[in-house]
Amino acid sequence: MIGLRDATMLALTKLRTRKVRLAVTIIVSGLLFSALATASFVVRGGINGVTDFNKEGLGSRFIILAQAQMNYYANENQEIIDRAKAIHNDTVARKKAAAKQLGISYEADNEPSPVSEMQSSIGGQKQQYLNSEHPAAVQAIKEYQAAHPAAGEAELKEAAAAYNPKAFFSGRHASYNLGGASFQVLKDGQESYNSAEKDRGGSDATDGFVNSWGSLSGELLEPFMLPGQNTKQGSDGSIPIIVPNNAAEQMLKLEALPPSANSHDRLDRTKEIRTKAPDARFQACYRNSTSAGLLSQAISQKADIDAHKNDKNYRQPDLVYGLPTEPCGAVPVTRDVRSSAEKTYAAKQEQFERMFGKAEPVQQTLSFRIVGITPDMDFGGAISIGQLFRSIIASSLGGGWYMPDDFTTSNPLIAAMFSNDADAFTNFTQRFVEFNTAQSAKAFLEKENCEIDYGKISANGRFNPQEICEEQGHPFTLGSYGSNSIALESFGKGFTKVFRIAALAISAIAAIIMMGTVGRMIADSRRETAVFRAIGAKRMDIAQIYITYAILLSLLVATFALIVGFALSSIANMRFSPELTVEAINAFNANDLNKTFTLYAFYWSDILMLIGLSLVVGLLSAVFPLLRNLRRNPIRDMRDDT
Amino acid sequence: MAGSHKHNEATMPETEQTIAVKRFLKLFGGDLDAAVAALRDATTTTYRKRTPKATGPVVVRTENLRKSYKVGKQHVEALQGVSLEIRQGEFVAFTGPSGSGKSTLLQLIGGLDKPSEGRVVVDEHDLTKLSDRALSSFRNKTIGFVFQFFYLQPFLNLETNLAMPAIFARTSRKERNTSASTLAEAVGLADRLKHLPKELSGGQMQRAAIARALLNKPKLILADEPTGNLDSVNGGAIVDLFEKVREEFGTTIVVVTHDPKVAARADREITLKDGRIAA
Repeated sequence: MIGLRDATMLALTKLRTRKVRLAVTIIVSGLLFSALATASFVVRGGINGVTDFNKEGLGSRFIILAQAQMNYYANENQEIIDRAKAIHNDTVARKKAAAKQLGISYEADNEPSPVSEMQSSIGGQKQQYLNSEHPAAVQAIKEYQAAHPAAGEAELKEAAAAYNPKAFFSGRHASYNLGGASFQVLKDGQESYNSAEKDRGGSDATDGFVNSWGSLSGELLEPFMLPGQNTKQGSDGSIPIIVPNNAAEQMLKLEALPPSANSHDRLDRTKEIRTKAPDARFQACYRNSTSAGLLSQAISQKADIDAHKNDKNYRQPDLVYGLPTEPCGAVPVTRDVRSSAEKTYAAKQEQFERMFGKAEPVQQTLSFRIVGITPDMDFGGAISIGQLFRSIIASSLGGGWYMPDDFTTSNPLIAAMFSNDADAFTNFTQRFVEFNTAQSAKAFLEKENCEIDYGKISANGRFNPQEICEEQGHPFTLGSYGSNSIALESFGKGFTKVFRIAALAISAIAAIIMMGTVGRMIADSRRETAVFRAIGAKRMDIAQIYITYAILLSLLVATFALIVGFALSSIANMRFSPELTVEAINAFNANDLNKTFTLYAFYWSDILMLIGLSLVVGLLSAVFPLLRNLRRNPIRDMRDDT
Repeated sequence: MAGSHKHNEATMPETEQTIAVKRFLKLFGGDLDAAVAALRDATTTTYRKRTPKATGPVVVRTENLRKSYKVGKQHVEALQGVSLEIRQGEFVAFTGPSGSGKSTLLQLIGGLDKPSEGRVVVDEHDLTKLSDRALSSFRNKTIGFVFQFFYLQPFLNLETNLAMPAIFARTSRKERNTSASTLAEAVGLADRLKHLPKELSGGQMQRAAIARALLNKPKLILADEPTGNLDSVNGGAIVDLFEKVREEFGTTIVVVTHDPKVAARADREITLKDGRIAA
């Protein structure tokens, strides 16, 4: 072996021939490897970022959401339909008797039926089904559900017992159908009577409150508390609640950013909201169906009277309701010129309705305190990198309004909104089970999940998921919740695998390219090799020169790849970091607002691996041409040229 | 060329003059153009008198050397039994027509190739018995090669080019650079040490190549057409240099040449024809 310095010096002379080919080789192979470098830097950065933010929120916890299957097709069940009809007939009979006793008229024919008929798409037969909001239908279904209860906490504990569960939680969703009641966030303390404004929908960030209002165990909400906040009722009676980012923005009177706002502005805004929102108060007005009914009557009467202001022939109704004098106040009577007979009749009518479920008007404000922020729920539009990212990390509670579970029972108004008396089918509880490790969570998820066979029809000819799941002995459908920590772990492993395959493929292509160049160079240098051999170089010396050459070439390729990799990942970071930080701060509820999501991370191990890989490729590419060359007769090579 | 040569033989009457011309032509392997060029040169270049035959120990001995190889499908008998001895300090020229085997003989003596039959003993090494590795070492230390096209590394400066044999001998950098500058001075290139070969003239390049050949103080210089790519002035200077080297270092010099002026300066001229020594 000759000296390292001499070998390098001689190898360097080889790099000075065929410069164009050499440059092309370095660029092409370098770009191939730079793809690996960039992927490595960016994914490492992403994983680092997620790991870093994971310390916040539920990111690092392994929680499974268990949804007990119910018979969602109970409204097509003949037995229940018959029972609803019976309840309905009984109610009608009682109403008839009561009306007769009170001396008021009652048209039984006007009473809506709990059962509808429609042409079945299969066979064209007439198919009966229940109107699931009809009181008789609701009662019949609830009786059925009581007789066939969905799996509850006891069943979940039993199913999870073998997997070493850590804790159990539960949550509910406010009824999608308040049965005529209303719940409205007061803007600037004022109640809005403009129904047209409400109908526009989406224009107001607080309008979606009831539709996306959930409750969860306080323990699950705890990680999402903003600094200084907790899940307890405030001394002023305020109910702690986590609100969507844009709702908080509106309530803080911050003008929404235009859609064209760049990600830096959005990051600043996110930070501003999260700094100002904690402890901010807002009120919402609850009106039960009676109060809401009176209010809408007042609103329409006012509109009617206003429309006929200049009409001299117009006569106001005998009984007129006015708008409340204070926000969320009672609906006052502003004019009552009815005769005493009319009043008596009306009182009897009212008594009749009270007998069959109509309540006293109730209106009350509830006071809320912002304790946390959830990401905005924006649906539709082009999928941004942020949305994509959000769906990958899927941490947090998702979008929506969340308050601790206790208030669904401790506050009667909230209890009313969560009890779903008006709709039998949304009345279910979400259950959660937390595990210590991803492995046990994954095992539970895989083995205890109900696999619903959608083609399976039960004995009465109806699809019944509850029956299907209970027959399997797995009454719950399961999914990971709160974070994608389970999926992310698999993703990490999957990525490593894919990365290795990609590295192999890229190395193979680079090896072929480099082999061409090294082989060409060795062939070009045959005469020089012969001369070196003549003046005393051993085969090993020649091999050493070419191996050094291959190493130098590899190092150039690796250097080029790393520079491009650094550049590309820095560009990716500059472009996406603020957007990802916005998502990550909200998704993981990062209380440290200076935390940024950086989309690159440089690991010496990765860099060394890349250099190592290109060295292996370079050396491999030198082996075959070198072996072929060393067997050659130097004399032949010297003569060939002359 | 061989055909026209035969034609001359057949038609020319054998006189003393024609015999002299024939012998003269033979020096050039029957190449009339080369002979004419040499005659023209002879009018401008003075041939020096040959020095007496060396009487030192035998450095090169070949015994019934045969070498055959295949070129494509053709079987070529390059050497067909060559036995010769060269003594230390001798200046020997191998002449003969193209394909006579003179270069092959030089390469076998230099250990660049192995004979098919026979033995080559150089400086008491039986080259037929040396391994590839030992042969490399032998070439490095005992032999200095000089080529027609110089073969200097174009991207290395003169100093490094001269030091090349020392690099393969693992001589220290300092030592080999000293040797390189000493030799550069000896061949008149002291001021060109840091220059690249392309900055030198042909004659300078060949002088550099000779200096490179001398770097490891070899016993034997083997030069294949060293003046073949040079004009007569530079060619003469190269031969002068060989003589000077022989005088200073006692180096044995073997030159393969077509040039009668070079051959004339050698102590001994060994003419090969069809793989055999003809004279």
